[in-house]
Amino acid sequence: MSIEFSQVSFSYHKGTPLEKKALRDISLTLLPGEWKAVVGHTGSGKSTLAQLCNALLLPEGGRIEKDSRSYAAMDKKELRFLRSQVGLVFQYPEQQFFAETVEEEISFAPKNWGVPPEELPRRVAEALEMVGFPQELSSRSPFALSGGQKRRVAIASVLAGEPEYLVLDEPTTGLDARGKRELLLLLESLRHRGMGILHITHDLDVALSWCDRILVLHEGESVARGTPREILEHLREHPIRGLVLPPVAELSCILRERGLSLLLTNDIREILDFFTE
Amino acid sequence: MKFLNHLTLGQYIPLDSFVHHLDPRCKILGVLFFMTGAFLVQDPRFFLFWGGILMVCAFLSKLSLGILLRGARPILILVLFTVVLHLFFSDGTPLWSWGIFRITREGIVGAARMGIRLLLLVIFAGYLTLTTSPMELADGMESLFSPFRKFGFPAHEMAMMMTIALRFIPTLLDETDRIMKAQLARGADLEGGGIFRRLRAFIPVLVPLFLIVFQRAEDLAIAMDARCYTGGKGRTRMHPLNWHMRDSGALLFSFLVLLFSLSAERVVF
Repeated sequence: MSIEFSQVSFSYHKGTPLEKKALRDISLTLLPGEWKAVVGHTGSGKSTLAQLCNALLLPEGGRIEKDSRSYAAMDKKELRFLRSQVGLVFQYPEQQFFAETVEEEISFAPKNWGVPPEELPRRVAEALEMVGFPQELSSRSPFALSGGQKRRVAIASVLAGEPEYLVLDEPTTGLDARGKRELLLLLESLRHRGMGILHITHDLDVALSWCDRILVLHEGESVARGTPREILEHLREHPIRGLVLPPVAELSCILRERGLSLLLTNDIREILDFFTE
Repeated sequence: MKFLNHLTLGQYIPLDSFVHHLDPRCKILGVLFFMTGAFLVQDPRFFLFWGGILMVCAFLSKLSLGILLRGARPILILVLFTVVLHLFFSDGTPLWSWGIFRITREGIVGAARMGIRLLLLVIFAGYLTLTTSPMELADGMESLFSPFRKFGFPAHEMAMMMTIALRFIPTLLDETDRIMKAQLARGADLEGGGIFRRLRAFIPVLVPLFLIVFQRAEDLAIAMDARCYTGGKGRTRMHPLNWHMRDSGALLFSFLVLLFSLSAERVVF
């Protein structure tokens, strides 16, 4: 049970003078119950990677497999089924709203996957509950909600399809501090339910503090992979232009340089513990 | 799966050629002459002459004939439809018939005439946009229409709207692509089914797209307001249009082609 990329590459505008290599030799594995971050700055190929996950784009080289079944071998029907199992939340997902009520918006995906009408209310209620959105507001217009609530409804509209994996492209951009924290707590609860999460972001701080494993992309190539601590060790040795360490991680690096033997971390409490011991 | 990648209508190919350096006003008028001439052709055989003109046009602009012809691809279905209608449903001397269908001599001539006419119209229109950048085109239109300002015609505003519209086509295509993908990811079926089902299936694409368009329009209006845009009155331009001798020459040439086409056909055939 996993989604597996092996040596995947992808180009835009293939065969024209505008050809641009977006990804080169990317390998990664996403397991159920794992929260994995893909970190890189603008133009590193992150969004392309997201769209490859559920076959909106097909790789030009290499293989992508889910449960050892290659995407390239799937026919139209199977690809549709795949998309129901690998949910994809685009950047600014609230821009895809079209329905008159929250309920209708959320039942869009399950209806498309052929869920019988009598089961739709249960799906909607469950999805709303998962994202912590008040049930009594489900007859509101999705356009009349606050930014954070819109984002939650948008994510619920993908969760209502009951995917096994969730791929999110920059899910925290445009949210205020509170909305961002609530969203991250939501992702954590989804992981505890056994969902595999691929979290695409430019925010190294979020990735280091919340995710299990991190893949760093730079200009379409994977330059580092591992646990947050391993990534910190790597970035300390080989800094990447455009990827600045968050202040706490920076502090731990400076302390290390001053000769203290603490583990690199992005958690201020770990640093405090180090001093109290 | 890039859905809207193949739109060639209205594309500009920047090259360093005689035609590219002509004044946009000259090109707009010249192309209008050509289109009038091509549209008034009666005998299909006379299209050979227009084929020759097309080759001269291609040569002078350094564009390959293939690129010019490709511009007609989007309306190929319309042309085919017209040709079929003319072919099977014209009155005249019957050559072949089956049920209500019959092919007449007049039908064949009419089909060829209408088909080639339509193709030529679109190819010449495409020739204009292939050799003239959208900005030049808008400037040229504004200048050509400015005499009508006396009668209250908003020449500058029209040109500004045209520029903005052209500028936003690629942006909107990108947005459409993104929204379509977002809805596909939620299981929307945008491909199968009959025409009404497909139209209905596009509601989840069209509603968000309209919202984004309105939002962008409002942002742009505010940005223009913030820079004190008040319309065309007293506005100077960064690249004023300059009419040269070669423009007069090219315009005269296209006018002569039109005259020749109108008169010669009756003499030759």
